Amino acid sequence: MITDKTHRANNTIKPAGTGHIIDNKKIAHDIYQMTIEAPDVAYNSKPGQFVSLLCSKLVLRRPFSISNVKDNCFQIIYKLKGEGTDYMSGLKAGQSIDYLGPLGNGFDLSAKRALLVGAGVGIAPLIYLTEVFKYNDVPFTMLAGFQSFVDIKELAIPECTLVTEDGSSTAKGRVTDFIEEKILNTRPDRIYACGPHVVLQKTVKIANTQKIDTEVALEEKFACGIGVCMGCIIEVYENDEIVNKRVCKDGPVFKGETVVW
Amino acid sequence: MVITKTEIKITQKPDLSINLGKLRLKNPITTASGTFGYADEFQDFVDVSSIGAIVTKGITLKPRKGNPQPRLKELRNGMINSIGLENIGINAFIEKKLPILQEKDITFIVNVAGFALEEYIKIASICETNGIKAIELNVSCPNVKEGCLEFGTSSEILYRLVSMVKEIFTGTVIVKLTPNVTDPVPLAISIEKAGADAISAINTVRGLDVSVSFENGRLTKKLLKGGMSGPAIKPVALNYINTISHEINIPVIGMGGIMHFNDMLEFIAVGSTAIQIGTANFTYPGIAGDLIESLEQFLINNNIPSYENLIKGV
Repeated sequence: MITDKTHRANNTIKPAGTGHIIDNKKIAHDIYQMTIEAPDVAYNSKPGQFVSLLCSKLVLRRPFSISNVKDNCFQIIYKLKGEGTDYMSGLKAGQSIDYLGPLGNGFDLSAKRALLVGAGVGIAPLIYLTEVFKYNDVPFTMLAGFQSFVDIKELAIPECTLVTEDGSSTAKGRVTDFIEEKILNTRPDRIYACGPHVVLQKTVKIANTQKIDTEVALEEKFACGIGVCMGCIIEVYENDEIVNKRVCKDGPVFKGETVVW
Repeated sequence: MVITKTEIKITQKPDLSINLGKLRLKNPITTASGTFGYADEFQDFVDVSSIGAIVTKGITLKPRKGNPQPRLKELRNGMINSIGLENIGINAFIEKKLPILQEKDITFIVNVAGFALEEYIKIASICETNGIKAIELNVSCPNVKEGCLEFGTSSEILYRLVSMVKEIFTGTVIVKLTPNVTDPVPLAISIEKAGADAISAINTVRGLDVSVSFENGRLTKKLLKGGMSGPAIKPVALNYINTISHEINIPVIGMGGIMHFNDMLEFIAVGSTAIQIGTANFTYPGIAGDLIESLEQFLINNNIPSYENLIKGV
């Protein structure tokens, strides 16, 4: 992993290869975690970056945030959504998978005290971020929102409050309901968020009223993941103008206050 | 492999080069407009200078922001896009992208898109002034001045457009044809008569994606109108090329769903001189390099000294 205390080991590696599946397990009702051995990704990625996986005969790849790295491996967390993730859930340890990555730009890691807000599988890049913050001695707390109970122990996220809409955890409600309280208690200088559009929009709005910087990891459909198909365009304020940015190449992490919500 | 005495063993690497007008390509593998950016995005995945030619994203006179979301939808065996010609404009291309292409010795073709004849002419003359050696005319944009017809569906307008471009542009002029017509033959013949150096075909096939849901007692829909690409359109492309290639003498650059080497051979078999890779660049960003290697190996294995020999035999 790349932390503030390390730097990219090798700038000339090709961000593509075949990874060896070490583990692929169900961690909640329709959520899986896959561990893939791919040293180039493990040693050269940064939280917020993603990989794009080839799913058998499907025409387009499927992108996933890197949810952690360990030794020679990286991990992803995925929710069953369709043919691509169905195919992936059937893969077994010992099989291999073709990847592109690490792709995109990761989070700015320079927070002094951080609050992490994730919803659903959007918690994925934030888990990786917690690892880097631990390594860099940056204090942080995290809010993770799900519809119903998820065995968060399985993900081993430290300093995390689980919020569920159905109340199957101690904190009941939407993840954004708890942001103001967390800000009050922990005084973060930056909020990192990933999840559905509405969660990010609300998080940025709350943060703006409190004058706290935000870094949001966005999602938008694309065909390539490398900045050429122009499918994943969002609008961003830049020098008093509204300009197009590619989520895959210019992002997926953007400063929350610059995004045209 | 055991080589018997009667076989001729090729000692040299086969010659893969071809000509499109005055433009010499190292090999017949090129990348389709809109799927390869301005080439710099692919440097991590493939030696871009080894590719026959890359065709740039469609470039207009002024920069364009393109269409709002949604822009893409994956289909079974293909995709549909509605990007709306988002691009940096010819001046920014000349200033920012051209130096990179020239410095890295990349063979490239500028895809030119316009909304009126004068726009094509202006862009072509800027290309001429800046020493650009080849352009591909994208002729499926709405033509405001000609009463919202599409340039690419009228033989007369095509003839006029190509003749005018040929007068001011001395390099290779390729015309990219749309499949959204009843009969492409008159279009291809007009383009050849007007002096074009090659035809590339096919552009995306017009299509509509419909997402339905049933909410509050009624059927609701979300529509995405756009161009289909990928393996799903390959039979349309092969039929189109097979139809036009016998009627004209200029080279045809075939494209439409090429994902594997065998697909490429199919396009060659129906009369393509070169091929373009489109959607496959998204999924396999290194595919151009792989196809070049496969072609070279194919010629070696079959004792064919040059690619020209292969296409002459079709």
